[in-house]
Amino acid sequence: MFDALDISVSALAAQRIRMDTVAGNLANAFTTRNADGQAEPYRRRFVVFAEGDGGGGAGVHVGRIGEDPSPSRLVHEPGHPDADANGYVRYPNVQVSTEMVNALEAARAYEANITAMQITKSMVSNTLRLLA
Amino acid sequence: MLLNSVVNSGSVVALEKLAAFTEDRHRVLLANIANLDTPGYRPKDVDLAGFRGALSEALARRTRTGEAGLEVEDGPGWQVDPSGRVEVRPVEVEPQNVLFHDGTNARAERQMSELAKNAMVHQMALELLRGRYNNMMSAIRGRLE
Repeated sequence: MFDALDISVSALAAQRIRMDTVAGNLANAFTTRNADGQAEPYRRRFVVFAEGDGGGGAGVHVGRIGEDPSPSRLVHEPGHPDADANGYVRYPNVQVSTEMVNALEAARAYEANITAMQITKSMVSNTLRLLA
Repeated sequence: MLLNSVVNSGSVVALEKLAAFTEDRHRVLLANIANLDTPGYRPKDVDLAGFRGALSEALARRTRTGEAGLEVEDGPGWQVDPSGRVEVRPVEVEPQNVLFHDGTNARAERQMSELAKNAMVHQMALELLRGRYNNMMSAIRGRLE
């Protein structure tokens, strides 16, 4: 019975990682250079969940973190140091509205699992009360 | 043995089985909720109504034959091993009104309400069981408190 909590905990961890990628995407929504300082726009990242807690148990885990291959946003900004010959700057393919919806979904799923944990806890304490 | 016949008579056995079944089903529903956003995941479930039907059938059979134990028949989602322990084998639920491209329909509301209902049945079984145990304690003590 106690290990039932682990199922919900695996989901909490997975949803938090999803929230981390959303935060990373939003933070880098206007990043036009990569870590080495080259003019390569940031690519939106997303999580792909997979069944099982990754160690053989029930639950969920992050199977992989993918990079969104969709084209970068082109903005006409001739004075920008990363602008191309025509004055266009390649901005990341991050859409703030998509990220916000993702964040909301992750938060709701997190909440659902917290509620499930509370139900598990009350079931355990009810079972223990049998002994009293 | 007297104690054996006391413990294995009445509703105690049925309540124990119901508590064990709902406990296992709780785990299945938890996994469904954990996998709400997993692509390609099909929600699983075990038939609570079917199990209760098998349980009441077993109770009726016991009343007819007058035996002490309770023989619950195996169903599509559960198996009762010789020692009387209930083992749950979840089956995938046919998706209705498919919403997503991967053919799933993870409905959080439905899973949450099933979880709450299941917990209530579990609590009911345990409360009734507690009542039975308290009765036994009173009988053993030989006085009412």
